Amino acid sequence: MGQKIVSKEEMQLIHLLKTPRQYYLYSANRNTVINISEELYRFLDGQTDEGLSRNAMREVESLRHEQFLSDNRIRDFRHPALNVLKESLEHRVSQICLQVTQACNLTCAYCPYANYTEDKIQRNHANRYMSFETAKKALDFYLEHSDDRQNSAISFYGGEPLLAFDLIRQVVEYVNERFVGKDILFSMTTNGTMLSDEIIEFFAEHKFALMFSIDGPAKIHDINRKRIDGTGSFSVAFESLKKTIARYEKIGEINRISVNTVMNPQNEIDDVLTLYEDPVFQKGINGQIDPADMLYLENGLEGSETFDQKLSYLYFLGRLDYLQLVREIHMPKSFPDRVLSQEKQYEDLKNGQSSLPDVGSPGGPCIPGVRKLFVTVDGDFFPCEKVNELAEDLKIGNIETGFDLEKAASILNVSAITPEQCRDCWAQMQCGICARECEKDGKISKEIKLKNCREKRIIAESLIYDYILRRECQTVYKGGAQL
Amino acid sequence: MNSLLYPYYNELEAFVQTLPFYNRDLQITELVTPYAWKSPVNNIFEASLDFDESLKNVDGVIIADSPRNKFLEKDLIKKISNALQQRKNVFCYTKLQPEDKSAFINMAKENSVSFEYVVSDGKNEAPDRIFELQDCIVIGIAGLLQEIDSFSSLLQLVYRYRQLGYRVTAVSDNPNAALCGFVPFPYSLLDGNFAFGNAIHHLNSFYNQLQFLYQPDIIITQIPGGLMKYSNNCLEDFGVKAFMLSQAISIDYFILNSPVDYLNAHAFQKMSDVFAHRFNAPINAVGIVNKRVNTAVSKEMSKIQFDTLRTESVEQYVRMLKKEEQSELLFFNTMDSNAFENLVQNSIRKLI
Ligand code: SF4
Ligand code: SF4
Repeated sequence: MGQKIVSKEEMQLIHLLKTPRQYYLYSANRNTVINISEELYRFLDGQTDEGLSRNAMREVESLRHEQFLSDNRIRDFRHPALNVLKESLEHRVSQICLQVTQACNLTCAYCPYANYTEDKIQRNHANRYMSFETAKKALDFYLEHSDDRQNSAISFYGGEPLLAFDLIRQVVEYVNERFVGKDILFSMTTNGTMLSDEIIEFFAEHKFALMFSIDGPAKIHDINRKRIDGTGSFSVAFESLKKTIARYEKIGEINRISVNTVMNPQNEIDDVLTLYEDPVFQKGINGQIDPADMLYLENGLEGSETFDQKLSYLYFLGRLDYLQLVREIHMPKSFPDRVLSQEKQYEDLKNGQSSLPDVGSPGGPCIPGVRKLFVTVDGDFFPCEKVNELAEDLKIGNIETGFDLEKAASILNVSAITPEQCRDCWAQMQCGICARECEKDGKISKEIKLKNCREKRIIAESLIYDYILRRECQTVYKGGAQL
Repeated sequence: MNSLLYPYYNELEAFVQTLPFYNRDLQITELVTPYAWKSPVNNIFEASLDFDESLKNVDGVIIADSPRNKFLEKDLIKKISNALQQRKNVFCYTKLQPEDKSAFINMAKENSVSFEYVVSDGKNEAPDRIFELQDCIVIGIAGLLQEIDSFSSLLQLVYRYRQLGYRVTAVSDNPNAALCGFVPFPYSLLDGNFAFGNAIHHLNSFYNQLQFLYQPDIIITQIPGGLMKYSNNCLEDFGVKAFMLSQAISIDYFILNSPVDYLNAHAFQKMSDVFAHRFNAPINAVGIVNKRVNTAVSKEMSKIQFDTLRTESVEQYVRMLKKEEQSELLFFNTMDSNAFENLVQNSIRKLI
């Protein structure tokens, strides 16, 4: 019924949303939401077969007039940053991440490199190290390709990077000499099991930003982060964290230390979060709490029944806390901070757009190689450390041959492989699909990409709901929420 | 005195070109740039990367200021000590820690050379408050966005007017301008110690005093900060300083420096109408600087990021702007020193 008054093409580009007090229409053409009447909502949602009242008809006309209802389409699926890709890769690479080793002294439950899949899904831990020659070539390449930037960010990745501490020391020395005149930032993620006093001193001297991987209190951490002999690693990692904090406090750089907690869905969330009750977290260090990434796990990790529900509830509380709707919520800062990280997307939704561009592409990934240049022990380039290092399609070059522009472009322009589907998708302006998720057996694949669509639309919908909640806090619930 | 300039960077090109007109005592014969500052585009001047080698050929070292000098702190100290120990005179235009400064004064004495520290402390006395509009001509030069250079244009203009016999007083917010005898912009009058209205009065008095002191035909002043907010995502400057200055003095000729690809000629014309209301000064000329906003990266970083372009791209854009009809504005390439002859002639026709 709705289709007669509103065409199929118009319907494809809208998404309906509802809160306890309001009805909304999200328009991909305008990339923003607008209030609609209950009558129109029910009609568009197919809940009623009755025709529309005169008022609702006027509403439809006005939505059409303002292009909230539109059969407009992106004609040419091309990522806008393709025009500046070459120049950006030549002059503005922002960060280099060196895989100093592929070895690790732990075997974590959810680590893609420790889930030995015989190099089928992702590489495995291996006793391989980057040579100083390779590191030097990579750093020179980075310096040459970042001359339009004032800052240089150099991070170290593994395995456990501290297994290659001597190389890290050499790299820092080299950078401090070669990169004089740049705002230099060193950073590293560590499992915290190999920090001697001397190493802590070295990090403090060079003001390293350090992220410790601590997955919860001892009883949780030790299930997930085990040594090869099966013993847990909590006590030594947490002790090192405390020592490092004490050292960084002396130089007033405590905000350079953070903790990363990966939640294994098999664990109880409440137990995990007790970690954050420790007094060290009162000192202002940052924490990041995320569920384990299972993209490269052969058998995934079967979660407990309540895991997803509790996680969603925590995210919800995080929103309330961020919006200061409810006082005295005790929870790690990571949850309200998650909302903060979406500020940019809210801003885009608030501003909207006059209509879909002629040339464009769904939301999309980073600019590969520009946001980050990940260099493996062998000197191969990837857009970040999260991608499958065995995937030829994701390899964007090498220290010897430089960037492979064609591959970088196809990663950036990943939407171009499914224009038919994306063109008619209501979530196209919010979709953050990344080539990493579209890869199988080393190739970027259409079928694999489309398997992500359901999840991408759920993410888009939840972002729009968050935005609506913020809006309603300033309008509907201005005087305070009565939940 | 043959001198070495360190650290040399792209934006100092016009400075090196024009310094002989401003300062006959110092001849820049060596340019040295830090390795990590190698420019993404070709410079007119080839700079060396070897400070120690270049030092052998000179008697003096000029330590220039740059917004990036904060990343050179240790390096500058090493280079200045080195120069003094090699018995070279040092002229320092960048801020140092007080203890380093006194150490260098002593070191210079021991080596019987001079160490001149030419950094304005930025503390301007509030001048008497008599609000009077100046009666000499005022030319204002502004960058549309905060990091768009207008110092090079100032350098190119001042000496050309002087060559034509005009008495020119130049006001600059660039610390290196002291080497050319320009007056430093009185930032301290805007730093929040004065109420908004008072600050405008003080600024007005400052420019009136310049007029009284130097009796110039023309004052050319850089307008500090950018002129507008870029986007909700990248705030940059809001044009507040420019607004205050525009209320304190009356600008007779307004040159706007803009990045490449920013607007078409028609839009610049419209912007001129807006500026006529906002700053009481419509735009007369638009200088195109060899920068382009990298929108994708700026959005990702929530801060304006520029790509540096070759002069051909600037020329191409300027040609396109000139082709558009119905624009009264004069468009020029700020990297083309000949274009400034034109600009001077155009301003003289309009003003004098
Ligand atoms: S996961 Fe994808 S979008 Fe994210 S940094 Fe890596 S390549 Fe870019
Ligand atoms: S959800 Fe799927 S169809 Fe929609 S824009 Fe993203 S990739 Fe395209």
